[in-house]
Amino acid sequence: MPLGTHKAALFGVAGVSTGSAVLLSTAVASDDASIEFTLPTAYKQVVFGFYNIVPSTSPGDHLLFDCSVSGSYGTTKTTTFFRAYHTESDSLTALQYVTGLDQAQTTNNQQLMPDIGSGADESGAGTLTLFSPASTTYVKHFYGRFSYYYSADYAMDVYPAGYFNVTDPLDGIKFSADSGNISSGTIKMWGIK
Amino acid sequence: MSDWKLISEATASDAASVEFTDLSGFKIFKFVFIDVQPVTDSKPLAFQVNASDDVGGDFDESYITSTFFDADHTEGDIASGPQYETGDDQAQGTSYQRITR
Repeated sequence: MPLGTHKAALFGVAGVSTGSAVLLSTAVASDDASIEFTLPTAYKQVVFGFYNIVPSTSPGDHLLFDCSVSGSYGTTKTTTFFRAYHTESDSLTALQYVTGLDQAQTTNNQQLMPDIGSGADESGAGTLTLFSPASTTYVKHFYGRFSYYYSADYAMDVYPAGYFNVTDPLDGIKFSADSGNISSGTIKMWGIK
Repeated sequence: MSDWKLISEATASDAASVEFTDLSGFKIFKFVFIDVQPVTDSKPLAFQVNASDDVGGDFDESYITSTFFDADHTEGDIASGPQYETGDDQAQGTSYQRITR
């Protein structure tokens, strides 16, 4: 049966509500330096889905993100980052906090998927949830969960989380690779009422 | 995700507790907490359920066996974890289960 028959059910239709979740936007990367969404003001929970994200840099590159305030990126954040991994060769396993990937009141882009492999069958996937981006009272919390092909042939499972330490509304979000471009992949933005 | 249905919404205002009823009709319930702020600093948020055979309705008879782990990072750049928090789990306990600490 052709995919088109079930395409809407599988991937949703932009702007069409199906219950409490509304698919707001879909971006398909094609060797892009970054992918940017305008954040909605009408939702208290915004979920991003990442599907087969592949960097252009070989053997791998990082997927990063930041949110803007009044159109300006470089927003102050405090974050955590821990991960579990397992090599294909079964030689290494770990559950660890990664101090080099967190932030303490700094304005750098936040790591989501460090060193996604760029080989022919390698990619990354996951979700990122952002809460109350339009709040004018509270800091803005987020957490992510990603599973991806680490460029050194690992299964990598990561948990970035934290908050943007601003009470001004967040109005944009930008995803980018660290040293190169995002070669391919899809990012969807959902609003949850 | 497109099949999620918003069933109820509660806005706390200096409330001792927030309660939802009629947990039926669905196989999965997801509760989302947005900008939750305690009256007292550092007080954990916790939950319990009330089973239909608990005639007293006191939310004190449902046994919970649970896990709890976390990772921390201060604005002063002190990090710890991921670590298991033995004081926040339960082994067949009937206490309210902590979801923050």
